[in-house]
Amino acid sequence: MDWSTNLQMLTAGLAMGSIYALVALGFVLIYNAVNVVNFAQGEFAMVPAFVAVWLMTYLNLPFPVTCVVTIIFMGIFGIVFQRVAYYPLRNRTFLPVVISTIGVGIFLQNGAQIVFGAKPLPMPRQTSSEALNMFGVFVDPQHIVIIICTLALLVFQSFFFDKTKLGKMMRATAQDKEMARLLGIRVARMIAITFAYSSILGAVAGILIGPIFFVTKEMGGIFGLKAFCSAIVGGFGSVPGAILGGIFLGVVEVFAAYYISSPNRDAFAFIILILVLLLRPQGFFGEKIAEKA
Amino acid sequence: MKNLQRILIVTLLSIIVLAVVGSGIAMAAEEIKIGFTPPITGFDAAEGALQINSLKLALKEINAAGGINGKKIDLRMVDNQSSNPGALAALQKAVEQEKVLALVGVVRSTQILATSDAIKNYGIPTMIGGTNATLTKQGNPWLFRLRPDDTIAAGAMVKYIKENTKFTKIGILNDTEAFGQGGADLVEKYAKESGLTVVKRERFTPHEKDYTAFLLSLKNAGAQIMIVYAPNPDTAVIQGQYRQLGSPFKYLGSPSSTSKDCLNLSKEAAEGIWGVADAVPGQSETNKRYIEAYKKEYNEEPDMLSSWTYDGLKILTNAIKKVGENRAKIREAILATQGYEGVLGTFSFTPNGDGLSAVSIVQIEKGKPKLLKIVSLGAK
Repeated sequence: MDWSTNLQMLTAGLAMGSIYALVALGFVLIYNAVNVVNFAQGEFAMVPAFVAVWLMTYLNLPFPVTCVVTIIFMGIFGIVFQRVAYYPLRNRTFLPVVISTIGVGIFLQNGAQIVFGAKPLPMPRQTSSEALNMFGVFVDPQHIVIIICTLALLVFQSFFFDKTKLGKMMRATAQDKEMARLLGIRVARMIAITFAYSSILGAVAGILIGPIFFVTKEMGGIFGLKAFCSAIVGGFGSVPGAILGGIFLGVVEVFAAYYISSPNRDAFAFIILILVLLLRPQGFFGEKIAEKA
Repeated sequence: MKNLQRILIVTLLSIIVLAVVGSGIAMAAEEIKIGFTPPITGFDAAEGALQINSLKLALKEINAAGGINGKKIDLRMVDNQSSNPGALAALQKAVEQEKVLALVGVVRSTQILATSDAIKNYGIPTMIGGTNATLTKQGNPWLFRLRPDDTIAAGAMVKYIKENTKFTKIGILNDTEAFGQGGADLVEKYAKESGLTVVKRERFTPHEKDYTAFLLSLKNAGAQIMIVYAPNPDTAVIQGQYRQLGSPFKYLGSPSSTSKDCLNLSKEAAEGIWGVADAVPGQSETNKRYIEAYKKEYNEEPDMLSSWTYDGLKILTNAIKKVGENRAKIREAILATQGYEGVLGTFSFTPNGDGLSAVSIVQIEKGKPKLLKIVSLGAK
């Protein structure tokens, strides 16, 4: 057991896992708020990645400004998305809304191609492209940045949901819309904010992962799928479940690829998914809830 | 309202009739239709754009010089969408709808394998850029290869390591498609024959995002040099992550490791890596003239890896000029092309349809390939 190799793989796994966690969190928050799976969640990471590349490369905006602009853009984007794809169908059953989100996902992919072209685009790195030598182990500084940023975001989020009034209102809406409405909470506004926040999570994921590999219109699909698996493995509907599911998947993938089999590394995510569904379908942190008829 | 409906229907019908007749008129003009199926969208789009540039330059030069015996070339381009089903659909559209005489095809060996049967059934001469060695050996007489195949590329890699370096332990990283697998298999075979040791071989599914596990595995197996057999954009990602891990061994890659679309993405990460190149800029007078013309047209240096489309169109049109618009005769004329000075080298076609037999080993310096050695092995 070579600990330096394992450490390198652990940081890579944690970094990828953090991205899965962020996207999975987006899935779960929207699901909790409006009982809908947003299959365009992966594209919510792809679109801001393209926007960020464009801002940095063509408008030459400095990185902090780019971050702020991209996040604001995605916040507005989330609200528009909610208005266009969810709101008209909000009283329908589960399926029409899901199909609507799939449609938006396809639209975004092809829209990105029309606007930004078909070639993969490199995102300028903010961290150095030389490896960081930590305790004699070579680590990609971008991986460290991803892990730290995700941690910071999650700490902030936990504080937000737990201690601030707005956070509590959002949680109340997610738990029981009728009751929240009766207590004077503007439910429609809470839903809009939830969508906006999920989009911002996507923005953070896209900006963090962009420099490691190039921004392509397909990147949303790959992340969306793995993140969806992560959310299920962690317990779909559970916020800590989404986070831990994502990290778990990211880490297991890397180690499985090294120790077991490299070309089948993608299969491990899905093997784990199948095992979890067979053995513990509510996921690690999910609750066994019976739906009211 | 009924009158309005009638007017609308009649107008619609007339538009349709005009469209059909109009396109018929367009087809009656004196032009020769040649098809081209590059990746305009999808993962290979960056490389596709460069292929299109090279081909369009050739098209411009040929048409400006009078075309083919007075007839201009009408280029019909269909997107192969960087996928096997896409390549097949593009081929079918080009042959059945656009009714092209001959085809400049694709570079991905896996797509060529997927479309080979259809090409054989159509009996259409197709210029290809793929380097998997078996492509010209499957009994399909309609494929003509414009780049040195992998027996030469892989052979050159091993020969260079054996004769020009002190490395004896090789690690291999390849993707699981036809090109990567075929090429890496050949590297393994030649390495064993030369007495070099392959310490580990790692395979990845195309469009993999994280290569940490694979690179570390090769490093821990003691590899002194890693041979990468994969296309872009995977090679660009590998180069970036290889750099991140502190460049634990020397990197020697297949041609996509040194192509322009790869270097545009990997930038400084590619500094110092070695790779195989079909041709080095400036290696012949024809090559120099091509670079001048390309720079004039597009304001940037050409990419040697995608320049096969330029040579392809020129060799194809030379054949049509000689024998006319009969596909079987065009085929014979291409095979009879010997000693043709192209951009990528001197073409002398073997009975199987292979045109070139030499490659160069290059090192990337400041984003440009610098020649280390030319290796000529002869087609096998």
